[in-house]
Amino acid sequence: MSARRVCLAFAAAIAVASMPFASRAADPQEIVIGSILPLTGPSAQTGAGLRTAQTLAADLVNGHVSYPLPMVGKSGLPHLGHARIKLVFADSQGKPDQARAAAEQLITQEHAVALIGTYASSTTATASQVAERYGIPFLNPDSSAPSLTARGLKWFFRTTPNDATFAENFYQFFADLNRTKKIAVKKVAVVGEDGLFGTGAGDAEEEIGKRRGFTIVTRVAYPATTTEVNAEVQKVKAAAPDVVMMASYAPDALLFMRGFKDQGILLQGILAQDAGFIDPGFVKTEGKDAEGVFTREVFSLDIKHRNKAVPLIDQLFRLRFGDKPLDGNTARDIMGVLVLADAIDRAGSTKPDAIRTALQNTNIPGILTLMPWKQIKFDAQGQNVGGVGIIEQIQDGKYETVWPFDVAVKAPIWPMPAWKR
Amino acid sequence: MRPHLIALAAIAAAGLVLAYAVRDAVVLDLVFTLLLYATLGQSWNWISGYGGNISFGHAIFFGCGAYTSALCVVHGISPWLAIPAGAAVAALLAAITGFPTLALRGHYFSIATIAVAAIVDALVRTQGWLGRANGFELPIAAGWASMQFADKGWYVVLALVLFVAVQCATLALERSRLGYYLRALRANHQAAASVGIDERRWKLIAFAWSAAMAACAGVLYAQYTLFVDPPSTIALSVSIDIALIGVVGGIGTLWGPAAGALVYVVLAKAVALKLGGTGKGYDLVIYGAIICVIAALRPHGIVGTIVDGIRRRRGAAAQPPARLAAEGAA
Repeated sequence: MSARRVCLAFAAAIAVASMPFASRAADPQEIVIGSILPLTGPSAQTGAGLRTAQTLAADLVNGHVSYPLPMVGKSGLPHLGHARIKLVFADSQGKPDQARAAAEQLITQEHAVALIGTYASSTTATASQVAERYGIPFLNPDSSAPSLTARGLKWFFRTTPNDATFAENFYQFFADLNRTKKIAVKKVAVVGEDGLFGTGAGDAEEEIGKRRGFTIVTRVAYPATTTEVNAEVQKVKAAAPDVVMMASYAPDALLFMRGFKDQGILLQGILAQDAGFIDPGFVKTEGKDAEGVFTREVFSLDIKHRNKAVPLIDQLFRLRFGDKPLDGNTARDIMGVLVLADAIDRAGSTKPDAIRTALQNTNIPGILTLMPWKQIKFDAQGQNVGGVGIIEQIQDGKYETVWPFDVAVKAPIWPMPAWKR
Repeated sequence: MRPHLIALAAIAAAGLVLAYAVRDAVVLDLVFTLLLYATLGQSWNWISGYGGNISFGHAIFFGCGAYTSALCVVHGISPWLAIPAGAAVAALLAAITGFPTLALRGHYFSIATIAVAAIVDALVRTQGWLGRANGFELPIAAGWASMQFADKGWYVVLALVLFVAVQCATLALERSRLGYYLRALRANHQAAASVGIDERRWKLIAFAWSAAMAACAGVLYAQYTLFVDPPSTIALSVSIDIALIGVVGGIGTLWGPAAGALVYVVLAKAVALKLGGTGKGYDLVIYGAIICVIAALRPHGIVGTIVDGIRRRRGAAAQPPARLAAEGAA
């Protein structure tokens, strides 16, 4: 191939890449919501589920089958002449700079009236800043870093509880145990991987624990890619805690479980921030040793006792997503789309200011959601004040909801059983 | 030399016009990213292209700039000061890490850079004052003092200034004693040493400059993205992106990194924006396929291939390639 031909081929490639693709001018009957998700990259699997969940939610809003959920089954948005909502997706690749570019593209080229996304806290941080610059409402249904709502952004709203709430829930659980069963927990060890997830969760657990008068006997951080945790486990043993709070992915969760057992550490409870401890392989690998482990969750199908829509939405979701059940991430994203649709409808307008005001006035009772929440209502920082998590415990190899007590299906077993030899 | 300056002037003029006339945020974003990565690729090119020591840890210098910038903003200091400060920190880090590692040959240097990057990454993740894994979310501001602009055109202008400066520096490098020594060392370090070229000294100088330039790009990145954390600045994947830009474009050539950045940004980013929403990863498939094709058919990179073609036409294969690379690309 001669140099000239290489040049020509290269120029042609660039020309093709930059060609304007079929323009998608918004139909007057369609209201575009831009959604940013990790559709490729390490979180692509999760991103695919969230995409399916959001699409399902949009179809529920546009459809006419009614469920006890906000904005579902009214054939679009009644206050806007039954206009349909249309989700336009963009890929964040899980990277902050790509998320920023995606937000910009959705606002300027797709003319999205609001944005939703982006799952990872780091990508939410950059995408929401773009929305802030352009004055476009941004609804975040699924990022848990507490700092996101502490930035004083005017256009940022978050429905999900954050890591601080989850930590708060753990300590509230101890308080409730103390109140009902006279169980006293005092010494807490905080263990977590050293990434965004473990650091954020650990910081919240440490800070709130101290504030509530608990003793944080040790704080252990380790790289999630580690292959042995002997030193870390010894550190925990030396500190002799009543309970250990864990933020780990699947391989390291297993390493710590084995370490605790091998070194015969006596614990009243292991309280995990889901992740590795709700991995499908966890109970399978640990068997009897997994018994009694607590984990926080944001959602459980046990909520069906409170909202009859849960099993039905779960069925619809399974039909679309290869028989995988609705989980915390997908349920939160369905709610996110519904909350946004509700606000746009109440705004009766696609003007950003009107939508923002409507979001500020959001007041949805918890019983009308798929979640264990008390309600959906935003504070001045855009954080949903009604958000709570769930605590599950592995009993007979199954995850059973044990807290809050009004959603619980089983009583907690405390202390957790001793290690089987 | 003159054709290069003319080309640079033309690019600068086109960039300025673009920054002034274009109001499409997506286009400006692409141009900014393109210039930023071209700068990063060129900084990598100094030590890896001209010097022949392939670095897989260049992102830590980029991170030096980004973190210095973030720290400045968090502590109420103007981010403009982060440019000299970040560059100095990066140059110092390059000198410290380069002193023992630059003497390593071939793959060993590359492995050492990966190790150094891993150490820096682990360090940042455990230090509270560096934000640990949470990183820094920089507050939104506006105006020249805070190096933040509501109008993206200004970012493009800043990136353009940096790019032109780095290209001019590289042009000077090619004509300077340092540049000739580096190329001599790359071609045959024993022969170079036999005529009295001190390998460690000259490579340390090149490495420090290389790091300083990457840090300047880091400062700009931090002020543009307003978010700095380990995975997005100092991770191995960022280092690989930087190295890929140099390799794809053509290592050891003046215009190689720019050409590489063109492929990386226009194909990877633009296609990602157009096709990324499908969630099927077409953009990554296309980008990966292009890298494979270039690697398999044209291991000298885009600019290297063009240079080879011109050389063959002129029938002047005996001349040193780097000099021709400089002439051919103009």
